[in-house]
Amino acid sequence: MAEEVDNNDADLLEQFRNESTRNYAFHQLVTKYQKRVYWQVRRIVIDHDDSNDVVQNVFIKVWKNLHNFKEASRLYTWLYRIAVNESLTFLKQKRAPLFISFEKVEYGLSRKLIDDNYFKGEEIEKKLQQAILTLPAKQRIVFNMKYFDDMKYDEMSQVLDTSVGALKASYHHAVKKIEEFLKKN
Amino acid sequence: MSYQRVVMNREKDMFNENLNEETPLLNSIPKRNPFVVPEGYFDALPALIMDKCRESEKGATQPVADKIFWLFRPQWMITAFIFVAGFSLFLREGNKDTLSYETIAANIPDSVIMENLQNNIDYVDVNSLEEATQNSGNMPSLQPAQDTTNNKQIINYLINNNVDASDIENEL
Repeated sequence: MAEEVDNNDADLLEQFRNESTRNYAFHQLVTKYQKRVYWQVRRIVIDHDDSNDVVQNVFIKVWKNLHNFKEASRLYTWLYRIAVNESLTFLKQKRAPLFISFEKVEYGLSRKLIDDNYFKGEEIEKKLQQAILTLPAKQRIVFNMKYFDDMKYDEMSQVLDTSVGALKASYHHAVKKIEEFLKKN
Repeated sequence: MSYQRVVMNREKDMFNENLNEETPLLNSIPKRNPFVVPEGYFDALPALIMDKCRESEKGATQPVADKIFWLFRPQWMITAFIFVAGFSLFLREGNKDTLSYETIAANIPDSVIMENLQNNIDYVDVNSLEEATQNSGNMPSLQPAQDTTNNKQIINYLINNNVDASDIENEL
């Protein structure tokens, strides 16, 4: 498993553990992974400002815990897991203070797409995003990983700590639901 | 091992092919990223994150003096003041019910006391009243009427209280 770690990542980790090169190594790590982390988060929380907050929280967590990274998985898999958890925590916090239901939070996100200055897709792409928002949060993540990133089920399994079979079933159901939504709308 | 991999790939392809057939609308949508970011966002993000990381470390090692100072911030002082004032007011209002009888009696006008005594004069034991006032220590003991008491004052009292001369004569 250790050989899965990218050589470049291994160098970065070693530099991070050295006090004198820690800041430089972390800066390099952020530069390398910021876009991938950002887009994973953005597809979950939709709004750019919210995504910005979540991404910062993700990397602060990485900063604090990178010395604990066991290198049993790829560094990006570990980053991705933190990003998914932080995004889900963000959505939960959106609901918690006002006891808002899941549907209302996702409906709010869906409405944001209509006037969002940072959404440049066509109408059908907007409909697709709205369809995706009707899915439960975890199913939405599975769909995004598979459909947009073409992520392998093995890797998704490590990130989401879910069996490959369950992920395949989840993706299958997600696709069906989206197709139904697009037909109705 | 390679045979198994081939079988798995075939299953995967069949899975995808079936799905593609069942979802024509989804397949017709371009698979691209419709979201955008503000210009220069990713150029600035690493530096912003580094600043946040340094701040988070600073927060963890905040000196004790700073923490104590934070407790005495004006907002907290005002809140504490309001709480103390409100609590004091509450205690004061609550204590109204436990005022002493002497305090209550001191606030009753003399006219009301006189009226009450006159209405209930038959039930008042003068001796016990005198003892009570002597024991209280706060009130002067009853003194016999002074010779200097003005006749006019006595007459006025008698008139004001509708005392008949025949009543006095009977008492004597």
